[in-house]
Amino acid sequence: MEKVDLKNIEDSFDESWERIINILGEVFNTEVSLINHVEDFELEILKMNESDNNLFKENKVYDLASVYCEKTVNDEKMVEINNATKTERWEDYKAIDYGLISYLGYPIFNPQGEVVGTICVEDKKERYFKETEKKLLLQFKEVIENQLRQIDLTKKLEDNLEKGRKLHKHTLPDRMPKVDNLSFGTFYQSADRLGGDFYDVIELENHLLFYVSDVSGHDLSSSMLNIFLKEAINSYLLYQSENPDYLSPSNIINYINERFVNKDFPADYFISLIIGVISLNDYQITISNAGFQFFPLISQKTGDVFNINCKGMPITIHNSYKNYNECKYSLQPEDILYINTDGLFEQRNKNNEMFGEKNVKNTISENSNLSPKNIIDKIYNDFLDFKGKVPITDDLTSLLIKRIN
Amino acid sequence: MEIKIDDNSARIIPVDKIDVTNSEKLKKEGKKLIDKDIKNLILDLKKVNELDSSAIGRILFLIKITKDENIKLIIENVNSDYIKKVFDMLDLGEVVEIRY
Repeated sequence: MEKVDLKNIEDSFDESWERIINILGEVFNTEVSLINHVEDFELEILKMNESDNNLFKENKVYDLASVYCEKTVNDEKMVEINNATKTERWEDYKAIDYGLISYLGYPIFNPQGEVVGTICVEDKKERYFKETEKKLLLQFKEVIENQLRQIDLTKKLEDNLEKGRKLHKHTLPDRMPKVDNLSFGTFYQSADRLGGDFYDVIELENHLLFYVSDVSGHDLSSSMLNIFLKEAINSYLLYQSENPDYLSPSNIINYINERFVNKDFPADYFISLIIGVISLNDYQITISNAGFQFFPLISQKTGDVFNINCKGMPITIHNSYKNYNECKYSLQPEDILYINTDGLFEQRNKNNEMFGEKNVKNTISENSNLSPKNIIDKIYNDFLDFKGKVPITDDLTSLLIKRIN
Repeated sequence: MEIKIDDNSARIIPVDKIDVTNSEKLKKEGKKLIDKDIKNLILDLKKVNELDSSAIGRILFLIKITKDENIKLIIENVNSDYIKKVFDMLDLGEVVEIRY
């Protein structure tokens, strides 16, 4: 991981450093006050007060060996020089030629423990710095070190979220089952943060189980919920197979809901889920909806598109809700089932209009003769045209199942 | 977000929208209000025309904390067609009283 230094954070804290330099000027009344970046035996002035001196300028780079800060960097602690002309040690230092003969400085450490810069004041008069002056400069050094820590933590967090995003994407199924007479189309793109959506299609004897989920939150909580969901469904499939109502979507939802309540999740966590079963004998679909605001769609050979009207509450801790309807539909040859999470429909463009269900239905209707993969390409091209430069606001997830014969 | 308290009822009136930018506030205000001696907590949506899934989460949260304190939660003045549709799709009326 990249190590953080003062140049990384310069832009974020420019105003803060201005104020620090100004306060140093008022309190110390020295000729110069500086915040410097140090790297590879060179020192670069990042922030400086307004001064008549001709030696130091903002953004100028100096040989570390030619400035007082060298001792501060090497000793890794506070250095005070009362009068540089009184000792031979400082003879070759440029600052003396420019009249700067006293110095007080501290090294600045990054969270990795390396010296990445200095904060210092230099004056044209002999100075014996007071205790309060040293304490003040020390405080400012610590302020800057906290700023470095903050940016470092933010970066670590973002790196972690990015890892989480990639991992989430990896947990999506690599491929769809190979089943006679059915072809599949899938799409997933997370919005710019940790993903919450998921889908899967599972082969069972003579049946397929499929589901699309959209969990609350877009942070680590959503990762936990996704793990919970997967585990609950796997557990159901493993342990409930003796149950005669095994392949009932509303039963599965109730099972997941009970486990959800038992896990004692916070009250504002919830899972939206569409879960269904297709019989591979007669291609009848049984579906239940827990909390999806946009119903599954069916398109037919004729170009007709309609909703499967099945509604229900999301999975929440309020488990008094047991009323999940099961909607049945017999998939005919060339029929396609579409399940999309709300990111697709709720996307707004620069005029604040929503992409909406109508647009999706139109695209599907005009292209229902294409393969699921091609239909998905069409939908998402229309989506990209519609939204223009507006960023994607929510995960995009689509699962399509087509009956071929 | 306006808060009005009278007699034994408290009313929360969010303005414009409830989404990730302000839904946390809804949670905080709710927590404060249930500590008061009230019988009803009313979420008045007359000024709201947009909400997102984080708002749903907060409403679910309010349902729980009011239930725990024996306070009745009522959602009132759902004027927006869009929000009506969302509540209907989610069958929210099964777990909380909604007055249109």
